[in-house]
Amino acid sequence: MELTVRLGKVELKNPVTVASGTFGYGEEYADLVNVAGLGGFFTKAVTREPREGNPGPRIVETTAGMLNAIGLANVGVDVFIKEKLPFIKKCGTAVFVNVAGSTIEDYCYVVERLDEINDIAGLELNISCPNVKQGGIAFGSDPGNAEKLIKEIRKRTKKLLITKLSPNVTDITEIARAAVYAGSDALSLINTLIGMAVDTNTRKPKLANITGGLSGPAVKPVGVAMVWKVAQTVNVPLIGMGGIMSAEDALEYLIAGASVIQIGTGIFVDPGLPEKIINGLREYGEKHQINHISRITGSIKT
Amino acid sequence: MSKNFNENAAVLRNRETARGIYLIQLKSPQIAKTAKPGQMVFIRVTKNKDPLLRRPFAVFNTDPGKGTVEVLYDVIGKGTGILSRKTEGETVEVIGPAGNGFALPDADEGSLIALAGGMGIAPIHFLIRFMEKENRKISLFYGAKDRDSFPVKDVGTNVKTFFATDNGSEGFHGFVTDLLTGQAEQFPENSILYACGPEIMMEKACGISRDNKWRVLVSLERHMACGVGACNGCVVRTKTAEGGWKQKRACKEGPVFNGEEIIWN
Repeated sequence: MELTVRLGKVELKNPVTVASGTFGYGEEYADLVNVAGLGGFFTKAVTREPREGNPGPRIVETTAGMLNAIGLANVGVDVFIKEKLPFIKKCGTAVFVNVAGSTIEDYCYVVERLDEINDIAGLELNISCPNVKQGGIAFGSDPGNAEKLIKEIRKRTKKLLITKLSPNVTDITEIARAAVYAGSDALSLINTLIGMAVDTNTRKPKLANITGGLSGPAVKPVGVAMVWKVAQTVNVPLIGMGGIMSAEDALEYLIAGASVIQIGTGIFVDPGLPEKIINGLREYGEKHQINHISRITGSIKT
Repeated sequence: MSKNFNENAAVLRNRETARGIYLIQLKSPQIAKTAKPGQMVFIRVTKNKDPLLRRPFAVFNTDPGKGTVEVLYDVIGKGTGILSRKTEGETVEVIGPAGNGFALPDADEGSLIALAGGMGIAPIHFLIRFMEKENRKISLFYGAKDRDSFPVKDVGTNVKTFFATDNGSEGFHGFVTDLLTGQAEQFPENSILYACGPEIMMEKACGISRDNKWRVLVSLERHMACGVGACNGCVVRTKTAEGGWKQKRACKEGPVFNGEEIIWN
C-alpha cells in the first residue's frame, strides 16, 4: 500500500507524525526515534517571547492517561530560529511549527518570522492550549475570534496553515467551520481535554495549575468522535490525534476521516511506536487489498 | 550528555532486600556500558495501558562486563507492584541512561561525603561503587526510620558508614542531617557532599555545606513522562546569576543539581 499523503500542498512520506508538546523540537528524540522515517513532526509551541511556563508539579498520571499543565514553556521564536532550526533543516522529514500566543499581534509576529524559512513545511496554530489563561483558548472557543485571528495570519503566510482545535467546546464543528472559512488549509484535533486529579490525603490538586489537559488512551473515543463529526462538516484534510497507541488506533482515526495522525503521549511510552504503526498500516493495506492509504480516509460505513 | 538507548531487557533477578524494597537485575548491555552514577533508567512495567507511563529509577549499580543494570525500588503503587512480580526470563523495555549524573570530584577536592535518606541510597550506592573502583574513600551518612527500613545494608568496603534512625534502633537516634552536623569538623573545607533523599533533608544538607564551605550536589525526584527533555514536565526551580529564577528539567539538566542553585519549596 502506498503511504504518501497530501496535506494541501505538502506531501508526507506517510501519515504517521508526532504531536506538538510531546517531541520537543525533534532533537530530544534523535537517539530513540528514526526521525527521518516519520511522516513529520510538530514542534513544541513557539511564542513571541521565551516562556518559563507553569510551576510544578506539571504532570500526573491518571487511569490510562496523563494530565499536563506545562503552560507553553518554550524558548521563544528568536532562540527557536537560532538554535532549533539547524536540527530541523537536516532531520529528513516534514516539520510543522506549532505557534501560540495571547494576542493577534503575537501570533502574527511569530508567523511572519517563520514564513521566510523554507525548511518549515507548515504552521500549526495553537488556539487550544487549556493550561494558560492567555494561551489562545479565547480564540479556540469562539468561532468569531478564531476567524478574526486566522484571517490575519492567512494574510501573512503562504505556508500550509493548520489550525489545532480544542475539544473543550460545546460544538467543535462551529470552530472547525470558522477556521476553514478564515483560510486554514487543514485542521488538527483534538488538543487535550480539561481534567483534574486530587490528592485525597492532602486534599490538594495534584497539579500546581489545579487543572490540566488529559491525554493518552483514555481520550481516544472522544478524539475519534470529534474527527468523524468535523469530517462531516468541512472539506479540508484532518489530522487526528488522541490516545493513539497502535496501528489499529491510527486506523480508527483514518477511517473516521483523518488523513494524517499524530502520536502524542504514546511516544513517551514507546519511542518505537511510529515504526510499529507504519508497519501495521502496511499490513492492513495488504490484508484488505487497499493500494493507497487515502482510500482508508473517511471510509467509515455508517 | 550521554546517548539514550531503548533496550528490551531480560529480568535476571528480582528479589526483596528489605520490607517492600526490591532489587531487580536486568540484562541491558548498552545502558550498562554507558551509565554513570546519578543517571536514571525509564522502565516500561507493562504493555497494557494502565499504568501507562514508564517509571524513572536511579541506577543502583551496573556491571559493564556482564551487561547488567540493577535498580533498587520501593513498591509504592501500581507500577512498582507490577515490577515486583516480574520473574526471571520476562523482559521489560528500558530507556537510559537518562539525565546528567553526579559530577565526579576534582582531584584536589577534599573528602567525599555521601548523604542518603531511605531510598535515596539508590544513586548514592552506584556512586560509592564507582569510587571504590577509582580507589577513593567516601564517608556515608545513611538515615532511615528504623533498623529494618534501610533498603540495603551492604554498601561496599571502601566506605565508612554512619547510620541514623528516627527511633534510635540503629546508630544515631535522630535525623541523619544532625548526625552529619555533629561529624562535620572531620571533613576539610573543600570537601564535596552528595545527597539524595527527602527534599527537606537535601535542603538541610545545603545549609550544612554552606556552613562548612563544602560543595553540595543533590539528586532530585520529580514526576517524569518522556525522560529525554521533550515534555517539560519534570521541572525544578533554580536561581539564575541575575537574581531571577529559571525552570530546569530534572530528566535533562538534572536529576543532579548544584544544591546552591535550587529554590526549595
